[in-house]
Amino acid sequence: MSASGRRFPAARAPVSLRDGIVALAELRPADDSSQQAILELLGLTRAAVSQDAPATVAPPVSPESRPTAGAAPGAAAAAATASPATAPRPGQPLPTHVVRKQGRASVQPAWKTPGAALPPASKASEPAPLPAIFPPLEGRGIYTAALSTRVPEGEPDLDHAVNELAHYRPLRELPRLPLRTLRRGVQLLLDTGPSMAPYAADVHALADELATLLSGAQLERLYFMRCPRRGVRESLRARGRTWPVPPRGMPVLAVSDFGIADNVDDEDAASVEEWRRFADEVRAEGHPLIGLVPFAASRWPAALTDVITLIHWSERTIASSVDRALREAQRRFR
Amino acid sequence: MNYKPKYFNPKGSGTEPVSDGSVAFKPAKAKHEDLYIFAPKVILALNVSIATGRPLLVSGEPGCGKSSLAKSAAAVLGWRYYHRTVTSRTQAADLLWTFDALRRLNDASKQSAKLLPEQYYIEPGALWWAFNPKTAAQRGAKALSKGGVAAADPGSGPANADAAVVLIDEIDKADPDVPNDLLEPFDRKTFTVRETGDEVAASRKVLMILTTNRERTMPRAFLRRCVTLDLDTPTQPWLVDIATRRYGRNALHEEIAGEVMALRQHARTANIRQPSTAEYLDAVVAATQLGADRSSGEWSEVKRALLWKNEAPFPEPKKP
Repeated sequence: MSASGRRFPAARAPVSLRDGIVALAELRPADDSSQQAILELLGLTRAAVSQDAPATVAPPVSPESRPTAGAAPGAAAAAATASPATAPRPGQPLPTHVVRKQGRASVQPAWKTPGAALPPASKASEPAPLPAIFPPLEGRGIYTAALSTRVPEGEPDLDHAVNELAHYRPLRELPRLPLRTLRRGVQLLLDTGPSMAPYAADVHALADELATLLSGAQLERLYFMRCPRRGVRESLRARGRTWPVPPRGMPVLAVSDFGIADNVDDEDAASVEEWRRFADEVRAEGHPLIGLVPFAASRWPAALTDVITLIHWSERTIASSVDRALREAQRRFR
Repeated sequence: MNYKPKYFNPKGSGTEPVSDGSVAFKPAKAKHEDLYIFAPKVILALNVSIATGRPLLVSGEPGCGKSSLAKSAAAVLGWRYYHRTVTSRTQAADLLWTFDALRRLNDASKQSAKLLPEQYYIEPGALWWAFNPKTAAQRGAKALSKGGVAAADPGSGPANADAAVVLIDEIDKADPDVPNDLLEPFDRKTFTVRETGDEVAASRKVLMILTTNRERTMPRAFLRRCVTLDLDTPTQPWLVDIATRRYGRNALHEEIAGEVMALRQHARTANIRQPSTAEYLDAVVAATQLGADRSSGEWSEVKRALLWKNEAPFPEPKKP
């Protein structure tokens, strides 16, 4: 049981159609409801199938190209639909294609029938949800690569064992190669400061995504403004408190601009130096600190990369590039 | 529901029909604790799972009978039963086999000892036993040679059964990669022992039942290979029915079930752990055995200890 008591709805994914046919042939349902119940157990309902079918893929959105907090809603959509290659020039006739249908002409065209009322203005102007920054399939691999810790529980380390035995040193326990695991969980620090306002929806989506990967007890979610040294909160409405040191071995994942945005409108913006001090605190407690930053590596100051393993929060990031970043960071921190 | 329950049909000795189409089952000579009520949708799910050869992934709130389903199903079917509880340290291979590398290394370094074949350092896991008990007993060796010790079958139920039920309990406790690592054994019912190269193939029908507390979502590739069953949340009449079937009729059952339902509602609102069916039955037994006065402070303490295992304060009932 998770500490928070949070549970995910029973998920279903369609088993193959073959299984549906086999089950129906073997169990011979005599009515529609029995047939439906059998197919539902196999995830072969209409809803489940359409959910699993490849959806129309929205073009990837780079965090750097996301609308800022003040951008006019719908502006991006308008820009996307106006294609200069196909739009007619001024004075040019609009292309038309008239089709005359044979038969009775008394049928009302669809557009003349009374339609449903338009939704209220507030709902109509609600922006569509943004696609996840890490694509769903890649996301799981990226988080696993970034947050797993190593435990000596893998295959026997034969090289080490042979070396010990060759030196007549008895083995008290079998040396094992490291195994990556998520069992230590993660402390997730989410920046809700002004510099991260354009990514607010992404930050919450990321936290929800991680919650599907880790059980409740393994995910400690905390919010902060600008830098966790100034205090953290368990929820957006909770009272602030000092950053709690996570349980031993638990990695810390911070999602922030790390002071890189250099937001001139924010007089209290955190500096790189402040983040360095926080990173030193985390590392002094023996926890790996990983940072997800929505800016490309070219903008990362060396003062930060010396103390934090930074990962570019971008749709271009893949699990192997995270692995590489972690290996390079380990080499630097040594 | 109207279909032909060809594979799983709990009728006959030890069974008793329940009003809503469910069937109560208690194996002969079994204890009260082994009584299980099969709801119609559970019977259907077991039939679909056996018909398609797909594992049955069972979810539901604590205490709704996820883990006890497998053992009861095995008893109804007369099949051999194996189980393995998953922890955060469990790897997919642990469900298939483990290799005692240290013992082999020690044997290899002793000049006086004769090194046994690799197979004798293999310990078969629950899935191997369920798939093929003969090769599991021989740890994958073609035949037992002198000095080799046969592995002991950890299962229960008929020893010579030509089919088996295997329970893999709390699969969501494992690392996220573990379910995906089990796709091949689940799909093809075969696997290869890495250390010896021995291929193990299922020699009998196997019903695999996996349970999840839904603490994390399962990978889609894994879900695609499972029949999924979400057990219903226990209701007050259901709790009373279970208690009555186990311990006989008693007005106490209704009263305690009412208190449990109120505590469950309170815990659900606070998003904390809810008292389960097992805890309700413990409270029924405690109240019957101790004869505690339910208006006393002692009874409140019993309830706190058995039904409210949360750090949050115990919700005292409102005074009239």
